Amino acid sequence: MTEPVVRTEQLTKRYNGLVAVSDLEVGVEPGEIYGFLGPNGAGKTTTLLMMLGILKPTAGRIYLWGRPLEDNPLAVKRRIGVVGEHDYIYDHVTADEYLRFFADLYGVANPTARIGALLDRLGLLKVRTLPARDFSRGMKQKLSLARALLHEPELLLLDEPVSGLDPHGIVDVRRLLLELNRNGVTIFISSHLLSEIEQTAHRVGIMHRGRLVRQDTIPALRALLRQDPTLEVELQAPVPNLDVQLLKLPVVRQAQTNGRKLVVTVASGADHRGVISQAVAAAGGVIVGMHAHEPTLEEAFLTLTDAAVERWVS
Amino acid sequence: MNRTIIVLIFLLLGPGTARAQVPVKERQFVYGINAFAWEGYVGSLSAKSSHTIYVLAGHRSILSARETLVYFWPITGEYRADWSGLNASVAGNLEVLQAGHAVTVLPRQAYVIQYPNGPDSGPAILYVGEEAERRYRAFVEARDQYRDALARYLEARRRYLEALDKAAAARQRGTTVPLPTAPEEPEQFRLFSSDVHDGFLINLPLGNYTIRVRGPDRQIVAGSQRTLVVFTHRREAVGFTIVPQTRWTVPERADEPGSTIYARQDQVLYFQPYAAREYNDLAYTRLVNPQSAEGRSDGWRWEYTQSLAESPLQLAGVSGVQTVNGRQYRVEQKTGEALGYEVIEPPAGQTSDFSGFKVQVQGTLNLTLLDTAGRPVPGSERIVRVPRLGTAWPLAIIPLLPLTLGAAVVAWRREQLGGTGRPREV
Amino acid sequence: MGLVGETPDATRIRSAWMISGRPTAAMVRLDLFSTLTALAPYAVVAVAAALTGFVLQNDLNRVQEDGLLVISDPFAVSLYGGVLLLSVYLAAAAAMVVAREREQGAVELLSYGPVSAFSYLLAKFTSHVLQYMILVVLLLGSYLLLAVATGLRLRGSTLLAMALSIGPAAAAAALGLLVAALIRRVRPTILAVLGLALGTVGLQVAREVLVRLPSPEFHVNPVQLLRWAAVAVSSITQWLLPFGYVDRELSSMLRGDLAEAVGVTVVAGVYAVLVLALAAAGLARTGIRR
Repeated sequence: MTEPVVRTEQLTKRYNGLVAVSDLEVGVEPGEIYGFLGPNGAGKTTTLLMMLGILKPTAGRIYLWGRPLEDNPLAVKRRIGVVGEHDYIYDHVTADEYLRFFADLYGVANPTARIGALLDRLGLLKVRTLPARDFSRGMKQKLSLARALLHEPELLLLDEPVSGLDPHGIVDVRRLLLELNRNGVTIFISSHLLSEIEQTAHRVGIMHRGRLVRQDTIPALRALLRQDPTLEVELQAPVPNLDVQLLKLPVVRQAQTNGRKLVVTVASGADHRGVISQAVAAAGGVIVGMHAHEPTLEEAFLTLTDAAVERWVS
Repeated sequence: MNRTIIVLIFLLLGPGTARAQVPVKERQFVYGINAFAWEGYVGSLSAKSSHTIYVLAGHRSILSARETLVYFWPITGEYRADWSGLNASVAGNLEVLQAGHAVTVLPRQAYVIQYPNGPDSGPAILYVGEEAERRYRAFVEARDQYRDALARYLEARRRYLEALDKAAAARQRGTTVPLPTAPEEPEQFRLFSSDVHDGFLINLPLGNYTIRVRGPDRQIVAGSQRTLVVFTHRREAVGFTIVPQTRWTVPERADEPGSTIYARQDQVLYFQPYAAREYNDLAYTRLVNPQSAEGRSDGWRWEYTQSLAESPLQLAGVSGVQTVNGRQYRVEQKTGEALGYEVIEPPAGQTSDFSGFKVQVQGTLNLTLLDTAGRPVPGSERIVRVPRLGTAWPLAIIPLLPLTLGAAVVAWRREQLGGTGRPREV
Repeated sequence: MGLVGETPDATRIRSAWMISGRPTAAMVRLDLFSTLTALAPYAVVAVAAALTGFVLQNDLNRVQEDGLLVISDPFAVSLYGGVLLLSVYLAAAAAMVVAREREQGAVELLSYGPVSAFSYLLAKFTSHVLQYMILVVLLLGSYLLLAVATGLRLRGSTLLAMALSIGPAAAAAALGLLVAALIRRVRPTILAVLGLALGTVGLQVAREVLVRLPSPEFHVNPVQLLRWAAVAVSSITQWLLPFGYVDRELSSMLRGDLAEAVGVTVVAGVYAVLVLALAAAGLARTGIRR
């Protein structure tokens, strides 16, 4: 069994009595995309900075590739690419010079070719000789990503990597991350964009008030919520009292109509679409479309964090 | 507020009141110091234990143990002795210790300081013991002889002037009378001598010592302990006093070997060489006055020890190498001259005002004093240069060059960055 | 990844270079490029050269009016002022760049990679010392031109003094880095460095003045107390602050005491190393985050 790329053991960070991270136990497997979610102040950035050795944990340990971080942090950091929360761009250099500096810093072989390839991949080739200070927020974010990828890291730690990007940019970055992951790069993403995490991450860890509330795959998280799945039905025409008639069915938990739209919550454990279809037809309705509503990561997130709040409050 | 004003008034009046008071005199032990210095023996006072005494190594100095009335003189910020009020010798021997161990015990001796050429013209000579007594007696005798000779001369001169008047009157009447012969003035008596006093002869090697007086009762005399610093020079060289012809009353000194002398083209300079020694500034200042607040422990100063006017001076310049000898010069007041005076070699029978080596500046000159064998005396090398006197504009332009370079670099960089303007979103 | 036949020591050296040395060298290059493409360092040299021109013009005026000027080194006073000015600039510049980069997040960004607090400060230190060397060469060039323009002699000891001033200047840079490491914000950092520099110079001046004032012991005298305080404090600051090393190195060199000047330079170098280590510890303690 291979060691996790990142593993934390009872990781804790306190600031003057305020607990930022508490007993965090996270594991990121090689080759996976791990989404790290949490509201503002949950402790995500603090965790990231402790993983990089920038903040010293109050308690607990961090292991990277099976070895404690403090063993040889500089050597370990050469294998990591980072896009931070507030990435600073030197305001007196061009994009090309900026990347050349970091290529030099990491000892990248063939920096010219590497820089050119990355800039091209991220759509910044035409502006490489312009001052980086004049870039838009999105362009700066891409430049930061290019910087993080210069030295072909094995692990990417990304804090809000698509922040400031337009939809095209978000898609570009998502594709790039997936491509990198297919090539074996382990990716740790901290983000507020749950939809993005949903589309890229294999596993997710949810932070709330410094604690890891849940760590699991996305399907497993959805399964947690799939107590009573919901079917959304579109009718050709409204059918009066359809909801009342459906409620008579033993498998129907809840039914709600709104014109041509019907939302039915059915018992979990089996596929009841056939039963519902028959019931609608029997009531004189014609189904134009039907699909099962899958619980979103956002719903899972909100549910889990609310539950966590309730636990703590009680 | 009123209280504050009253306090301020008292504070302001305090120093003034102190200055207006008659100094309070205390009877106490002091050391009267006659320390050897190159300008002559320097008399000073060490009134407190904190007044470290400085003397030169390899030269004889005198410390006198006295009891006198000491008072503080706020105007100069120093302690002074009222010798006329009390000047009693303190019996005992001087113990000299170093690092707690006794080095020597010095007895009191008679001493006298004499100036063969007068008190304002060095050198001064210290005589101790029986020789001091003998020298003083000889001085007194010579002085008395001179006084007698002077008295005789004055009488002879009075008679001569009378005879001269009579002869002049006779000649006016048409009578030829031989003129009387003027009496010869006795040679000026230059020797100056102090009275015979008693003191301890100090001639110790380099180092720091502790001294104290142990009285006949075997007890240490209260207030007699001092630190004694015996110091020496750091370097020896040749220093020059330079008298410019255009400003002969304000000479300059070129002490430091390798110092450069800048002068106008065709300027005439008179060089006076001296053997010189470099001493620690603080030590030499305290040698002259142990109470001095001046003098830097990390500073150095040159003291001239001996005139070297007899040695020739070699000049090497554009016109070749030449050797000049020192001569005497006299300043004659002249009307019509731009300077109002003229520097000439004094005619026979006339005194000179200064001596030196006359150098007319023509381009860069290398000066070196030569010894009797014709070899350069170490430390005597100097350079005379003629700076470029003229317009000051190059001095204003040159500092702008680094700024221009910087502006060019900044402009180049700005051009590299492609000017302003936000790149299009990509 | 070593070459065939490479010794273990060579592999270790190569590894150390890749891990620590190379990143430091990269930061040095970037920093040096940034500072030398700004106007400030050239302006400082220009000011130092202008002061020199002013002093030399005074000397020329004395020759013109008095017909004679005896001076060991016409550039001595200017050298003192120029080196002091450059050292103060170096300390302030080093402090400002670290404080600003910390405030802006650049230090955090660098620490994502193979950069430690020590290697970051070492890079800043090295780039500023190199910058100083370049500025000294520029100043020396100005001195040479002024010497030619005036006919006043530029001595070899002046050149040597400028070369040896690198030691005290390095100490000044290290102090600037220490101040920046301990004080997080830009403005207080600059004020602290300038305060230390001006305080040292002011203390020296005060000491020189007070030493020359009469100090009566008979009454309670503030002059004596002030003098004692000035001497005591300046004795400490002469060793604790790098500007004292500048003073001692130049004074020794101008006196012709090469051995002492070299000694002061070496001690200043040791001071720089110690203070740099303190700065790294300070930066690690106060944190690299803005």
